[in-house]
Amino acid sequence: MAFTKKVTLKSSDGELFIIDRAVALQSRTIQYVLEDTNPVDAIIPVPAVDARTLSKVLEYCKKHLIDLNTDFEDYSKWDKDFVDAEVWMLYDLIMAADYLHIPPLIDLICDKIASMFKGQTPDKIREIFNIDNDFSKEEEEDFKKKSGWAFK
Amino acid sequence: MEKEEPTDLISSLPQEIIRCIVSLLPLKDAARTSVLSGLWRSLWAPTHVNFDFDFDRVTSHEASEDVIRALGRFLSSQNGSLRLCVGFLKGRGDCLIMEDGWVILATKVDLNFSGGGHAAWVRDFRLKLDVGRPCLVHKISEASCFASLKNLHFESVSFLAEDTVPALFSNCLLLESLRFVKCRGLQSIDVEAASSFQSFEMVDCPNVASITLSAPNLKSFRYGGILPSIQINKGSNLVDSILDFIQSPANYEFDTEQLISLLADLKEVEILTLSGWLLQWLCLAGVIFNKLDFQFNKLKELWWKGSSMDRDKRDSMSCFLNITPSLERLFIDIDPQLRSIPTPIFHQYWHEPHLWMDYATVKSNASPLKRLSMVSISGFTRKLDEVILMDLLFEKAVILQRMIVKSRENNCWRVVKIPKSQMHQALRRQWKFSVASQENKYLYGFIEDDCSHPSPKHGEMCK
Repeated sequence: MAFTKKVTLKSSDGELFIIDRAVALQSRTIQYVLEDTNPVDAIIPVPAVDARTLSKVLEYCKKHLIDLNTDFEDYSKWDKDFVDAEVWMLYDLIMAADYLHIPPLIDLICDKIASMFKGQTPDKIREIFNIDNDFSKEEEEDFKKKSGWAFK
Repeated sequence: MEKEEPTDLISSLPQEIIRCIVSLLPLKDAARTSVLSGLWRSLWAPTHVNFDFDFDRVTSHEASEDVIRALGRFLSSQNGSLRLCVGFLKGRGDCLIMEDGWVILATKVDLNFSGGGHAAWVRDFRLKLDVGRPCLVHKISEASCFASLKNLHFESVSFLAEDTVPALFSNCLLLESLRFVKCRGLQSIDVEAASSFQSFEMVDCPNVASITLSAPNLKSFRYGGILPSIQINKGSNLVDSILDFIQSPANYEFDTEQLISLLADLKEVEILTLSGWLLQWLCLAGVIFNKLDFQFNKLKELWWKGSSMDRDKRDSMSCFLNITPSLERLFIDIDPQLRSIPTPIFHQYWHEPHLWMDYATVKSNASPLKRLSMVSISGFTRKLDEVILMDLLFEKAVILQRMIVKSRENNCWRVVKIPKSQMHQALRRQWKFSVASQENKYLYGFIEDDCSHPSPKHGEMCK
């Protein structure tokens, strides 16, 4: 059966993205949709991802498809720049990568977020990610005492 | 999601993703996430695994086989990171108390076989961990989940671990760091590691008599406790080392040659912590450091620790500083809470007795430290020996920019050296107090300084 080379994705805010099928196939979610329904020229809705995030995700998919032959070092540099983004952007990206099921992108962002945790105090981490501390001062001190080695 | 919204930008991520992030963190950072909020705390709800064995009936080998099997089965049923307390029940109703233990799968394990202080649990044992190549004898499929393990942290591991630990962790070809804390009964440790292994640390293991490490890319070796016999093979990549020996066993024979060979193993380090008494003993045994066939050419930062400063300690330090030509920062920590080590009488000398020289000779023998720009002395009590030390360091450190002195009460001063002839009233007003130098030619002025930003301590781990 002849497949069309192009696939159209529709973001949550209604923007259309016409991309190569091979690019879209990096998302397992879309891969399943394409395999199940085999929509010719149909529009695949991506209701969980807005246009800004989707375009960024597709940028990643394109890069990782085209440049498969680029040597490792170039690749990791590009990846590093790609995740050099603000926290809210990383959040949107990882939610999108999770929804679209793109494991290497999830790993890449997890790695980035982990690097933001390293060596930071709990207060600083709460500040970076806007985490609401629902412990009392006493509770927190108690936890710290119990796992004292982690807070030295 | 808009940037303006003050939304929690991480806690609402799917749990698998949060676990994935945590599994990428070094153990300390991972454990710290447990105080972020209630949600993060719940990620770390400990899973308790208790083993009910009657150790009077079964041999420790049988018991550990069972432990491995049960633990392995349990671990293979888990995905991602978890915190695990491993405890043992002895007999009925006699429950052992478990301390906080962490086991984080996939990348890290922190094992705490805590014995709750039971006398029966303190039994001598030896550990041999060979992660250089997978050991086929212990091919336990359940244990394969540790294949990507990077950090291992053992706390209060008892003799039970003798078979368990090698069996569980021999597959850890990617192991990067190993840490032992409070392992009573542990007598010797022998680690054969692969190229990814970088860091070894051991603190408060009172029965350790021998440590043998073979790790081609070892970067950090940290030890705090009684002086054992230490052998580091292939350790030429070391950059960071702590040798904080708190005491030596009563019947211990001070083996000068062995210690010199340990120092030779560490000669490439950039940061080093040393016990003051060790240098003193070596000098008393007749070692003259600049007559050895190696130098600490890369050493940039030295931490000296001791319970007091006296003539022998000062002169032996001075002697050691003759073989640290690149030293940039020197931290001297005089802490009376450290146990003072009685000095034995040495009968044999390798070289000419060295410590019997008068101060003028010591001073003239001191080679200059051309890069030393920062000296910090904490635990300063204005004693004569400490002032002579300052005098000596001002003499040696030709480009010294900052000498900071901290009292036991945590008062902090910056010290300046002025020839007596140039002394005038304006200077005097800045000074909190002053001390005259040995020959009375110079004055040391103490200017109050801010020590609210102490430099991070290298030897923090040790008591």
